[in-house]
Amino acid sequence: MIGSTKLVFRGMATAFMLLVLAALVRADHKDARLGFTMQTPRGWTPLPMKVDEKWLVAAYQSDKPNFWTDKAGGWTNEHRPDCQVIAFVSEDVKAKAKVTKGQDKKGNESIFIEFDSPYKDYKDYMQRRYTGGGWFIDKEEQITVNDVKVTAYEIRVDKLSYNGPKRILTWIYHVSDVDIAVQFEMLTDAAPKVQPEIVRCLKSFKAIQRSGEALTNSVSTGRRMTLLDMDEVSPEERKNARISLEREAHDLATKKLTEGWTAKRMGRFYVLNHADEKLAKSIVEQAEAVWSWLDETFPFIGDKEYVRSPIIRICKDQNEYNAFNRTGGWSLNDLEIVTCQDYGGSTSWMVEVVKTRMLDIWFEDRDRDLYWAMPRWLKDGLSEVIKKLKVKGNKVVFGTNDWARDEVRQAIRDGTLTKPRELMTLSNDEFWKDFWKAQQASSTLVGFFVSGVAAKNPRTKTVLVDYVKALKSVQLAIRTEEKAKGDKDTTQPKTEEEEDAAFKNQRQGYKEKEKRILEETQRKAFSGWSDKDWDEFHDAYTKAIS
Amino acid sequence: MRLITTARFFVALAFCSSSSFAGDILILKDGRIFECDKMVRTAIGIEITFKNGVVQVPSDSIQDAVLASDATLPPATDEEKVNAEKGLVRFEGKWVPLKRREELVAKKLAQKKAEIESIRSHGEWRNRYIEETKPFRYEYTVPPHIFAEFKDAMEAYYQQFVKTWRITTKSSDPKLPVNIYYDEKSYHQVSGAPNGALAYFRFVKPWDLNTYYERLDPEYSKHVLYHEANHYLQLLVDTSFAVPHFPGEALAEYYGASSWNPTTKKFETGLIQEGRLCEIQTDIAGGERLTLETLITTEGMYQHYTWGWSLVHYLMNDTRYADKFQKFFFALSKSRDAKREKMDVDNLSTMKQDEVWKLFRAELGLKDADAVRKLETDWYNYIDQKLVLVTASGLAKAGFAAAGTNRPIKARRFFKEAIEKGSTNPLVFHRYAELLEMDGKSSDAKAMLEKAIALNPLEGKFYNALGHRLKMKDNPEGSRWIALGEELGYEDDWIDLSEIDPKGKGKDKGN
Repeated sequence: MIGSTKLVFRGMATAFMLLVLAALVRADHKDARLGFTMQTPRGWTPLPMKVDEKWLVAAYQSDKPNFWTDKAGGWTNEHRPDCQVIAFVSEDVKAKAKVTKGQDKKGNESIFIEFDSPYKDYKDYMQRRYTGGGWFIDKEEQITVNDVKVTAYEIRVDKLSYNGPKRILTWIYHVSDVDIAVQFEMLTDAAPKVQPEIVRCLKSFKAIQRSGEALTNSVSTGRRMTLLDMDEVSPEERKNARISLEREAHDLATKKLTEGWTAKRMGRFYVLNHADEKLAKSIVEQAEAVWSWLDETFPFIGDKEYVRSPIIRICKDQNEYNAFNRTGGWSLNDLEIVTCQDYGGSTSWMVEVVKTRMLDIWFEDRDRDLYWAMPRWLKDGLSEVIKKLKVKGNKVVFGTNDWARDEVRQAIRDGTLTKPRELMTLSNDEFWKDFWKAQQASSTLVGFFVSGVAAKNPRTKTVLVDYVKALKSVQLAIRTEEKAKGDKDTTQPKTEEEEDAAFKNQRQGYKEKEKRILEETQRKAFSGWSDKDWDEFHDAYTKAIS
Repeated sequence: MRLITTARFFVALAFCSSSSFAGDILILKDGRIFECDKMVRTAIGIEITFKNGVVQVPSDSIQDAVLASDATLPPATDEEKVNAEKGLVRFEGKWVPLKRREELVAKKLAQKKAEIESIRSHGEWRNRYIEETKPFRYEYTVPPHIFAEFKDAMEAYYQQFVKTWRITTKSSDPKLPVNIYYDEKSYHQVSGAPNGALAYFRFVKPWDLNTYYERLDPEYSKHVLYHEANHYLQLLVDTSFAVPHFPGEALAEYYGASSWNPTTKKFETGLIQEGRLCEIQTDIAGGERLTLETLITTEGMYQHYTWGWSLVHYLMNDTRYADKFQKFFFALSKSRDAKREKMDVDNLSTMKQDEVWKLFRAELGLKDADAVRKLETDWYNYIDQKLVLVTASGLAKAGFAAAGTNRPIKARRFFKEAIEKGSTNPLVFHRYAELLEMDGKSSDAKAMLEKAIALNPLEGKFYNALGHRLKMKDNPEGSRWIALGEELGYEDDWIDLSEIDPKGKGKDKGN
């Protein structure tokens, strides 16, 4: 017994020692391609990179938040210090545009220009990518760190600063053929506490032997089909191209994951997860439900088209979500849905984001033109209703948008509600005139068609589907007319009067076309409805809402 | 009108020149500074030799210049020749011994170098100039001679506005920081303004105003400053009330069209916003007229800047309405009956556009739909008959508007009229040249580009345009002009497809 007690005691002592050591040791960041190592502050989490990110090579975020209170508004903002490592490879910096000669899909000789406007240096990068507020270099000096020449900047972010005034410490290490900028950002108020450790890390930079991989960070696997190319090929060819794009996006996303993240195919989705498995399952279940509902409700829309398998990226919390969205500029990747654990359950805002993005991806792959031509009431209404879609048992049900319902109820009481018949013919400009009210009314109306009394009434239960079918037929009719007219309308104006007339036609033509789409679609979808029918519908609608 | 960015130009030249070994210094009125070793005085100004060409800079664009060769200028007139025999030479209007002139030139060069170093250093926001007056705290990176005019204009503007609108300020009110950046790029970077925002006034404390100097159109820079400063002045009417988008933006545009005469010290306001008028005329040509009700009841509408400006201009210039409009403006924050909304920031309140419309009708005495229609008709007539483009600048703006809406015939006529009326804006000649080229008038186009260069001989953009035009016609001079443009700081964004598509090269031969 004595022996065993000693053993236990020694075991505990070792465990304690290991814990102490773990607290002191900072993780090393190593980049064999660019040839450097550097310590990172303890307790900082590595962040994955966006799929098509070329310049940023690593990012970290502190697990510990700092706070700043805005005196004017009284709101307190949370900010976590973060670190970004940006590589300016000489070859990339010099590149202007990649011009290649080849053949287009029809076999015609074409010149392809790939614009990838490069950053000239760190300042240029900051000017074009930094979105955290107005900034300026407060201090600048040349130093040497472990035999590497370094330009050190201390940057102040003062005006219109997001989350509060901030300080950025950036050291640019000038190694052979590459400038490596390591940028740490923190709240100005938190700097006295945070900065010493950051400076220690910055001083730990060491150049090491490179692995021999290309210094340029390739984010593309060759020439892709453009959106216009895609429109011109057959559905089968389009499917193949989409599958290839999908695979490329999945592979790149997996390659750029950092420690703690998992990649897994779940149903029709490719899930990159840094939260728990249970949340991933729940999110996938809801996204699947949206996909299935769209398949079942609108089977006639682009029925031969292939819908790509989206990437769902689940960040561990809101901070990681914000930091991930900051790591990188505008992205061409339209296949990724980014969300996070916000402990809001199945009705949380972050889950709603997943559902509306699924709606976008589905429609854009099935029939982009139809989606873009949708009147505002339908597009906004569908989007709002989809947010409330949930799975109950094996069934899809739609929750109520309380905000919208209350707004509409108030409008009914005030006598200011735009009647459904009028709402459906509001032009984009008219919709924007009182956007909030129009959007809430649209959400309530589409909800009424999808799951309200209208969904059970024989007369109105297919209204939404009829409307979308009518919209497509009007759109096709207009396109056919335009195509027929196209060649006849090529004469150039010869006088100012002709020029003015052409300009007026063009400006008014757009509006007239919009009006025609709205009115003809409504006429077709509600064919046979008399004024009395509309009045009865309005009454039934307001009664159901009140 | 948005113009090209200028940051790189200014900075590139400043840095490039700092490595220059000789001592000639040229400071232009538009704020740019050149240091170069090959400058020579000529009868019309200064000649600068660059690697890819010689540039003549006219005297009227020169703020100051010190050339090393000033110390050895040979006698030019009979009087100078006579004095030279006595060992005397002219220096800044005085006769001095030759050696003394050499010393004075060297001393002046050293002084100017120090001055340039100071201007360059102050061009960095961390070293900015700071100057305070009673109402404002100016922080700026433009050279002092540029700032001086902005400051005088702003002080006069302030005095006039507080008098017209009977504003009394409290001594406890903080001074408004007015930040003027030397170019658009540094303005966006330091102020944090998003793309598309030409200037901004932060109406929540701490108040802050940010704008930039557009050297290719300094008057425009001032209009933007007056507009933005007007939001501050509007806030001074009642510091607890944020004026709604209409009439806020419309009145700011009204005051934006102001002019300061540094000689007579007169600040004139309520002029015609010709750029906005062009936008209205473009809407009308497109078959659109905005109704009074739509204008005033729509939240955050862009047309508050255009049609809104014309409405305010009409009301402020009509004796039947001027006082009523002012009363309406005061009533926005003071009227007891009006419904206001809390903004949850800085204890501010504001008003929805629907409520603004109610108040507008009440204060303007518009009792029924007929009265509204009557005012609307009078306002339309005012736009059609009284608001006309009168200046060369206005005609040029109309040219740009027509060109931007695919009406090249009209655009060419406006540009021609602007030039006949004396436009000296090189961008007018540049754009006109493009339109002439499109119309097959190649020689005329070339002549216009050459005029643009003559008007602003140190602007790389025009050499670039001329160079590409010549290159397309297989003229070997083209590449040299492009290189000169780059030497002057212009970034060539063209891609030469002929390098990979020799078949397409030289299809369009001509002058």
